[in-house]
Parts: sequence; C-alpha cells; structure tokens
Amino acid sequence: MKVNILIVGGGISGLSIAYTLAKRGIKDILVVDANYIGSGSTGRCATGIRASFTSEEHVVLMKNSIELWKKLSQPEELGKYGLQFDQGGYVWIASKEESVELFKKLVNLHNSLGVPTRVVSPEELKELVPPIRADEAKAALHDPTAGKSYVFDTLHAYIKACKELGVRIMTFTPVRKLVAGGGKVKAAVTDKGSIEADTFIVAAGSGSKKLMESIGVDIPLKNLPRHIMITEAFKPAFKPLVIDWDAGGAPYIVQTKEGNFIIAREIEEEPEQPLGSVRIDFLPKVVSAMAKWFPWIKRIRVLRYWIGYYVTSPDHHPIYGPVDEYENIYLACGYSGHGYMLAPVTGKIITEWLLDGRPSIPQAERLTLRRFKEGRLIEEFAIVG
Amino acid sequence: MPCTRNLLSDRRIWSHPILTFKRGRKVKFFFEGREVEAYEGESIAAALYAIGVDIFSYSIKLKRPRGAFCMIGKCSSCFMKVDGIPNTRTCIEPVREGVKVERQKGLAEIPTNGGESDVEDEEVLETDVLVIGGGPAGLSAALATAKYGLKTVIVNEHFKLGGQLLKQTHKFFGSKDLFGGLRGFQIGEELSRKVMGNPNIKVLLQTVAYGIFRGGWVGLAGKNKLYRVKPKAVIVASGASENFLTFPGNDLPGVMGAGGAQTLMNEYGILPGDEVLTVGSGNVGLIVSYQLLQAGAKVKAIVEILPEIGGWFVHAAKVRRYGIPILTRHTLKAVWGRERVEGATIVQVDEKFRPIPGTEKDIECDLVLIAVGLTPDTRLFAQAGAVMRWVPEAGGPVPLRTRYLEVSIPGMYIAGDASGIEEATTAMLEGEIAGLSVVTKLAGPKAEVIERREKLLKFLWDEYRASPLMARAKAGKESVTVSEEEMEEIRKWNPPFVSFGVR
Repeated sequence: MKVNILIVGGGISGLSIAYTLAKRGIKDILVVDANYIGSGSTGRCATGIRASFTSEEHVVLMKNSIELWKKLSQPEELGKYGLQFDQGGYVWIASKEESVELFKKLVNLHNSLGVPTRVVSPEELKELVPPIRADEAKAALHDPTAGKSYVFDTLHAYIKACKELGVRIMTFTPVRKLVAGGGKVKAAVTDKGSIEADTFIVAAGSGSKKLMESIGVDIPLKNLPRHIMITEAFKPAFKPLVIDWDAGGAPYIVQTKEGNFIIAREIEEEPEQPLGSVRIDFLPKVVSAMAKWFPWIKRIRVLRYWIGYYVTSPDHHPIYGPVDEYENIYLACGYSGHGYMLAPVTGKIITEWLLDGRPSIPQAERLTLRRFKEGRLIEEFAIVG
Repeated sequence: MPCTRNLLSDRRIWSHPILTFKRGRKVKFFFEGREVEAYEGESIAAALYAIGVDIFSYSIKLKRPRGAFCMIGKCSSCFMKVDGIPNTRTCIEPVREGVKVERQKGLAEIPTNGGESDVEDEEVLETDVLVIGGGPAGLSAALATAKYGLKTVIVNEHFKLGGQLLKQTHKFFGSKDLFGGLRGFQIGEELSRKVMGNPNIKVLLQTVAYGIFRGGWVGLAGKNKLYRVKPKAVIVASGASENFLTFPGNDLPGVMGAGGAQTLMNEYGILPGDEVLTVGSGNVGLIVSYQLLQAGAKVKAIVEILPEIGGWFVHAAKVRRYGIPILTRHTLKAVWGRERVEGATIVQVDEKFRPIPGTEKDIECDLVLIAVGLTPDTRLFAQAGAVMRWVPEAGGPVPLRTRYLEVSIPGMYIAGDASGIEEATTAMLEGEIAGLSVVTKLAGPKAEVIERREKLLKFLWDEYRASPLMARAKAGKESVTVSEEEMEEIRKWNPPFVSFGVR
C-alpha cells in the first residue's frame, strides 16, 4: 500500500493532525492504530484543559489550543458531531501559607503571559465549588479560562469529521517498525503488510520511542504509569477541575458531563509498568486525599480504575516537528500528560510544519527533538498527577 | 404522579401446590415517607414488589419508569436511595426495620447530607484460599479446600448464601452424591449449613470482590468496611447475568428476566405477574413458565425465534400439556403500556429472522419474561488479565483454563456458570474440582485428593456431559480447556502481571 501521509497513532493527536491537514485540502491521509481509536493515553486521560502553566512555551501553546477547542466546539466544525468544550475552570487549593505566596507569583506570571488567573479566598472557593468543605483552605488559584471536554465525544467527533474529509483510519494495525534509506523513511511495516508513504507522522504516544528506535532515532521518553479512577454518576455538582496543591501527589477531581467524578493523584511508580498492573493502595490513597475536601466521596462507589501513561520527556514538554536524520518524518509525542489538551494546537503545528515549512507559533519551533542534543531544556513545574 | 398501580396490594403467594414459604417476622420500613410492611429475610426490592410497587426508578435522561429486572444484583434496574445512599441495589439489600427507601428520578444528588462517613478502617485478612461467590460452585469449592485444612474465605454479594440454587424448586437428577432427589433450594440450604458450620471457612456476606491487584492482592468491599487479602489461591465462581433484548418498550416495568421472576416467585413467594408472555423456549423459559402456572399466573404464550424449541422435550411437553402455545419462528416486536406492561406485539420471522409484515399479533399481558440465555460474569478474570476467548456455546467471553480449572493467572481458578453457562450440578462438580486442585497445589499431591478429583473429572466429562442434551455446553467448555503444557506456553506469550501463591 502507498499513501501520501501516514499518521502512526489514532489517539487524539493523530486524529487532530489528520483533521487539520484534511481541512487544508490534503488528500490520501491514512491513520493507523495498534488497537482501537483512543486506546492509549487519550482514552485514559482526565480530560482537563488549561493554560495556567509556568513556561512561556506551554502557556502560549495552551492558549492557542483553548482558542481552537472553542472554535472546534462550534456547530460548523466538530460541534455538530458532539464535541463540547466546557470552560468550567480549574481551581488549585493551597492549605499552606508558602503556597499562597507561590500562587501570587504564579498569578503574576500567568497574567503577564495573558492568562487571567487570580488568587481567591476560601469563601470564593466555596462559591466556585459548592459541595467543598473549605475550612482548611488558605486560598485558591482560579483559572477561569481552563475547562474540560468529554474524551469519548471528542474522539467520536474527530473520527466522523476525519472520515467525512476522506481520511482513512485503520485500527488494530500495529506498526512493528519503520524502514528507512537514503535519508528518508520509506515504509511502515504492519501486521497487515507494509505501508509506503511520502510523509510519516509519529503520534504513537507510549509506542513512539520504540518505533523511532527502529530507524535509529533516540527520543528520550519514559512511560510513567499514572493511576486514575471514575465513580458512579450524579447530578452536576461543580464545574471546575479541583486540585489540592499541597497534598502529596497533587490529588484532583473533575466531574464529567455524564455526571461521573474522575479522581486521581500521583503515586510513586516505576516507568514502563504494564497498564493492567493496578495497585490496591491507590484507591484508599486517592479517596482519603479527596475526602479531606469532599467528605461524601467516601460514600460513593468507584466504577472503574485504570492506568494511563504520561509519556514524559526530560523537560515535560512535547516533542514536535522534524528530526535531523530523515527529511520526511515528523514527531508529535512526549506531552508528559498534556497531549489531550494540546491536541488542537498539535494539529495546527504539525500541519503548518508540513505545508508551510514552519509553524506560525514560534514557541513550537523550540520544541523539536534537537533541544535535548543542544541542552535547551525548558522548565515547567505545574505538572499534576 | 401516581405512586404505583395499586400500592398495598399483596402479590405474595399464600397457597402453592408444592411449596410453602417460610416468612420471617414482620418489619416496618419507609417507602417514600410512607410506612409499609415486609417480612424479614426479604430483599427491599422483593418487599416493594410484593406490595405492588412496579416502578423502582425513573431513567437518567428521559425519566422513563424503570422496573426491576434480574433480582440478583447483576443489573442496575432496581437502584434506589436507601438510608440516603443512592444507587443501592435493592434486590440484594435485606429489608430491615425502619430503613428509608426512595426512588431516584434521573441522576441522584451527591450524598452530601450523610456528613462524615461511617466507613471503618481497612482490614488485612489472612487466608489460604479466597472463594469469590457463594453459589453452588463457590460453596462446593470452599467445602473442598476447608476439608483439607486450608483456611478459606468466601465472599458473597448477596445477603444469603446459595446463589441461584435458592430459586430452583425442581428436583435434581442423579445420584445421592450429587444431591439427586433434592430440590435446588434444599441443596442450597444444605451447602450453606455445612459452610457456616465449618471452622476453616469464614463467610463475608454483602461483600464484593472489587479487583485483583499487583502483588496478588484482592480488594473486598463490605458494608462500610474494606478488606484486603493476599490469598495463596483464588477461586472465582461469580455466576452469570441474564441477557437482555432490544425492542421498543424494553425498559417498561413488567419486562423482567426469567431468572428475576423465578427469584421473586420461588425464593420470596411473590407472584411476578398475572398474565405472562415468555420470550425464549430454552429450559429456563419453559421451566419458569411452568412454575408461573403452578403459582397461579396465566401464561399466554412462549415465543421462540428459532424454528425449533430450545429446551428439553420433557419441559416442553409439560407446558404444552397445560395448553400454552409455543410459537416457534416468532419474536417480540414491541411491548406497550404506560407505567407497566399492558401488552406485547409478537411477529413471525422468516428464515433470516426478519419480521414478516402483516403477521403481527397483540397479546395482552402484564409480564414479559426475557429468557434468552445468560452471560458468564468473567469481569474479574478480564480485569486480572487472564487470556480469554469468545465462546458462543459458553455464553460469552470466558478464560482459557486447564482441566483442573486454573486460568492463565497462576493460582486463579474458575468454576460454575462463570466458566461457561451450564447448570447447578456441573457448577457443584466444577467447584469441588477447583477446590481439590487448590488443595493439591497448596498442600501437595495427596493420593486421596487426586483420586477424588479424577473421579469427578471422569464423571463430569465422560458421563454427565456425554448426554446429547449437554453437547453444546460440552463443546463450548472443550474449546477453552487446554493442557498444563499449553497453559505454560500461553503464559509465556501473555505474561500475567499478577499471580497467587508460591511458584
């Protein structure tokens, strides 16, 4: 088989890239996934979307992404297929004085980069999140531009829109290796035969590193298992995603549009643990952490608990764009836990790289693989769970 | 909105040709603020059904009335708010003095008014063997492991042991060794008695095994209490759930699983309906129809989409003798009614199972029994990463297993309907075989144990399942039974993340 553009990875990034390319009139795009659509980190994510980061790169990219999420949710784009962006905000709770001081600094930084966060009182926190017991909160950082988008609706919408634009999608087609020669990638070897393409895009999430190794390119990614669970559904109780900044593992909670609560926190974990390898200590840890703020949490039932990988780069920023060794392959991976929220801007960046030679957002150009060789790592410390 | 059709009516069966129902003392409880009566030993769902409650909740999006369906905790049809806790499965929650029960209209509010939870600290349980499920397979398995001195814990979601034996009122075939001549509920009671009296067995009722975790931990959730246990072996005998069908009106109260109706009628002595249409002519459909007749209901017809009757001749002959038409090549087109089934439309189908226009026929009835098979409850195996296969003859996805019933997760065993749909006798046989396999593994091979296990295996495979009536089930089980060597190979290709016991 031969195609114009082969996108390896049918998660939100791969679909967003396919959609954006197809919208600009590119034909003969094929997306392949080793499993089903969204079966990797996308379908396992907490669905939060925010721009309140601490690096210029993250903030600028995420701001762009939020604008795109808003646009995508309009009826004339993906809204007609069910994609919704719910701008319910993020709330970070501080229970220590030094965290309040940090929040003030962060707010200054956010504001200077155009993200209108602010520090709010426990009373205001209670207004934003009515069923919270806010006694132990000293203050909270509120990001009103942040939000969430229900992952299955979003995937469904992307699939429909992609197909409508002529993008082909092959599921259950693992790419075992890439084949290269003469400075170009030639083909992807799958279980269903070899696929040649003029251009290759690797948006293969936790499988990206191994795939690139097959053509001798080392991308410094680690798959960090992150544990997460969802409860039974209730009437809408509060809109923002709530993070306890001062508790170990930064526990967070968000209510989905279907009414379930997604709850998670970081626990100490070795990279590359198998995805099925759930831990009995996670549930009590995450529940007791959240019960401090929401005592009723202990009375509701857990429906599912799963692991997803944070495909993590050394500086917690994505790896975008071309690689030095080959002229026709582009990377879109290593989001370190932020691939879902970045997806719309990921589509824009990769599309522009392909069609215009460079992305219109200059910060994206700093995020190529080359930065690790050149030691130009970017700092970010607002990483959650 | 009217509360029910006829609240405070009495659907309890007070005279029955072969059964007498032992009822506990009267208790009073509250249904939507109103004081009502029940008998101790009844589930909340059964007690409500008995006094005429058809609607157990209103659906999440369209607020459609919903009735109870499976009556054994395998579906979500009877979710209600019980003492402030929403989404409680009232079919496996015992009625008790003063309990407050309310219907949910759409999604429930978060239970903020409960304040601090009364959940106790997590307890670590020490045991050799964990048996999940207290039906015929689980009880037999536990008796086998306990007999050889292994400390055994049984967890059971229901507040009673015995599983689906408790609703089986027919006499079992076979030798005395296999409880031949006894009725199912009597077998259930006898097994429960033996289990409760065994010092090596600890029983946790109303407790669910919620997951299998790294390091061989199993999580158990009881009433307001969590346990974690690291057994040397796990036997999962989690049973099965009734299949459902898609048709307009399938969520109307009065559309009920045949097994659900059987639970109401035979276990609690409550008549599930007066005029019945049964969908499916397998053994369950035939037997439950006959039992409904005995209990005083009128069975209008049994429809069967296939060209021939699914169940055994002996059962079909019984219902025919009472003049119940068994309509083959017919299916259910729709069910109608306002707050409960008032009737159903059936239709003939062609050889490709497509409805033939013009052959529709309306049947007035207040109960539509869905008797279209069962699906093994294999969720714990799937979650633990056991290698599974879709086997239509077994009723769905089931794990591969050795002849000794160990699956690809070392130290994890399967028995009963979870391993593929059969019936209670095979469940008891498999339970004991699994139990003896655990004994062999943990206590070392003993001639007596191996001899007994071989005898059971031989009987199960070469005699019991050799009957042509068992051919389909046998084929299903054969297709997922592998040799010990094959299982080692399977494990190499699908390395399990978890295992039980020392290897």
